[in-house]
Amino acid sequence: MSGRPAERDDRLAEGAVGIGRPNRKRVGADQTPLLEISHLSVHFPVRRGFGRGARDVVHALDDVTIAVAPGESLGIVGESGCGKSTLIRCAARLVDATAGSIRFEGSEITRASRRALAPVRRRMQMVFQDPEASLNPRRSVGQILATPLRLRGVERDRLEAEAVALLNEVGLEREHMHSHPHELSGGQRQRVGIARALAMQPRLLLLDEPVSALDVSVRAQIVNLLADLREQVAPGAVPLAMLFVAHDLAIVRQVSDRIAVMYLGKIVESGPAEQLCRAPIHPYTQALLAAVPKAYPGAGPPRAQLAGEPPSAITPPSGCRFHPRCPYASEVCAAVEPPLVRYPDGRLAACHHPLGVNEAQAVAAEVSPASPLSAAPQTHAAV
Amino acid sequence: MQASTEAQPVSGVNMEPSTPAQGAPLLSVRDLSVTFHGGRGVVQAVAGVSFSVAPGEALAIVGESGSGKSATALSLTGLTREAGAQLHGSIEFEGADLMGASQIQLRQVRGAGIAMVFQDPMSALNPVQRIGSQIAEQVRAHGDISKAQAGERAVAALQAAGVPEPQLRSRSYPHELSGGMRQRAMIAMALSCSPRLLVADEPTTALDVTVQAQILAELRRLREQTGMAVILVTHDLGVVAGFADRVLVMYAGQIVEQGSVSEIFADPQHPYTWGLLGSIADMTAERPRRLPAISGAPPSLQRPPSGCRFHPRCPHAHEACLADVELLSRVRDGEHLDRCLLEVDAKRSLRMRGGGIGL
Repeated sequence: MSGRPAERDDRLAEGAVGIGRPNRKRVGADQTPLLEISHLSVHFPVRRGFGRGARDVVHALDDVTIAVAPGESLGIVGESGCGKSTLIRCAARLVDATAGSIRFEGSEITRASRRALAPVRRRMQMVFQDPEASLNPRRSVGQILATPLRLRGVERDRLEAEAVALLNEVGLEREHMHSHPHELSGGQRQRVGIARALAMQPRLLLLDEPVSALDVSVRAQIVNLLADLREQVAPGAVPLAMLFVAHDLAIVRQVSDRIAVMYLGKIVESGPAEQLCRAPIHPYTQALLAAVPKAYPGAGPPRAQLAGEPPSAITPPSGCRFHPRCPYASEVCAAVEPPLVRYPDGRLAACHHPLGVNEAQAVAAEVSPASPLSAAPQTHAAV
Repeated sequence: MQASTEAQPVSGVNMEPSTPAQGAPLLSVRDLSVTFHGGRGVVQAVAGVSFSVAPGEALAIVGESGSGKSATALSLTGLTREAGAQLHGSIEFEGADLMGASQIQLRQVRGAGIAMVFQDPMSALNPVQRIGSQIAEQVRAHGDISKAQAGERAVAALQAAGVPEPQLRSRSYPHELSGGMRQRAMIAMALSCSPRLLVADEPTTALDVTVQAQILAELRRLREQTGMAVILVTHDLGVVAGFADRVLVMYAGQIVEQGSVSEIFADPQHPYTWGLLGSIADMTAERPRRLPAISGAPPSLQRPPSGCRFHPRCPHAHEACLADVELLSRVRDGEHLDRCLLEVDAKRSLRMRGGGIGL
């Protein structure tokens, strides 16, 4: 697997998730991806039982290829344990890759040293799920914001003004400068978390379930804030790209240009947000859509409800990993892993029984360069 | 799942439901106030809340953090009785007064009459006790029953709550289960004594949407089978639509609107309800550029705003909102009550935001 990055060609960039419908306003036609993750795998060894017994391997991420264009917002959606958080942590180099490569602004960072990563991390900032745990409880908001500002080289006498400007940008006031995290509501704390990330003037925000711990009403505020941050870029300034991870498709759709759906460490479908939600190709995407609560009464129980929970990532199912829970599964699904196929409209999906795909589209579809290498292309032709 | 056969093991457990008089509510709460006196001042978490629950009814209490919805739910079984807390009003369950009940009397009601499911099963379950034995312990606390029988009852309850391989799972410790399974175990524990009322406090907030859908479907099925009433406490109006018969919307310790689920969703009267509805991302509609969110944050309950408590955040507030607003039926004579002074016709046009309802 690790040999693959060397063979990178232009097709890879084109086929990778996240390219194809860049944000019209600020992205030039020939820009290289901001973040490019190719055939990335992360395996965690875990001890079986107590003592020095045999070791199992958790396949948290298995051969995932995605890319984020400058200024683009890519949403990653999936259930707990699908590897979405591992993916985002791996992009920030908080977790080491087992195989594959991560490139940021064109340069390889997969195995870069701490020292070499420092300038990269300024341009790639993370927002965590639980602001209560990711903000230092003993420091005031002003102090929390001062650290990244100083690192960015802001002069001492400008610190306060810059911090207040950041607070205003995320919808807080000067009076919050002296508050400590425990004095703020959950939504306000998450705003501080976002302000801290913005202090470095990043090109890419990595958001790991940033609204899952918040009330629905506050979620809407934060989602709107993220939309504003992407739109209110001063002319000539660096556009802000986002990699947004969540388990709720309704939220992901609201903040993303494109969406990638993950299941048990693999990408099963990706495409433009609206299109993917309107006409999903993969049965798993359909199931995630069905799980979103209906916002009107009389809708009754959601249709095609997904039963059970994802199986163990230590011994993932053979063939298509979704087949034990899939209502459309057939024999081939258990035997052969479906490759990630690129359909004529540019969408990618890995399914032997794609939904809403007619014969012409199926024939015109070709295996994407983003497809896992383990899913041999010729098997698709045979199906 | 063959529902009808599975429900039997848990139904008909001790304490025969005392059949209430025809039409009498199962639970009746009158003018409930809960005030906490703490180091940082006096907080009135619940300020005069009245409602009732009919046998078998599903009631949703909806509101943001700090709206008093959990304090209301916890007060039903005396769980807000603590040093520094003052409770006023009356709570009647099956005709018996719970407000003045002793701890011993309350213990009879908890679990068997009113059972609770909490948001975070990891902290509600004992981490060093097997699931089955925790459930059996509760069963034995409420009836003279052998250990072996209680164990069987626990397995049956796990099965009724949709836990696969209940025999095996009853031997598991909480950390060995996934979040969804733990919540099912909590539900099994709540069901084990066949309560007449299940109070579920944010039961799905910590779960994935897929598991949330499963748990809600499970609760819906169990309610239909056992005929128990359910109070669902949640911040998400979205989960209420397919679940509840009636909805209470709470804000800053007060009920600001109450009505049937169709009244609340189709003809909401209070701007706060509009805001909650607007906050739900509707997958069936075109994606709006921005969600019509409620701006600002809920007020401090130490010094709640005068008049309509929502007025500082309400774009439609006017001078009259500064005086107290009663919870009244304003639409027509009926059960649909709200605390907003705007004209009904004006409300119907003001609440429209980009094709949907929003603030």
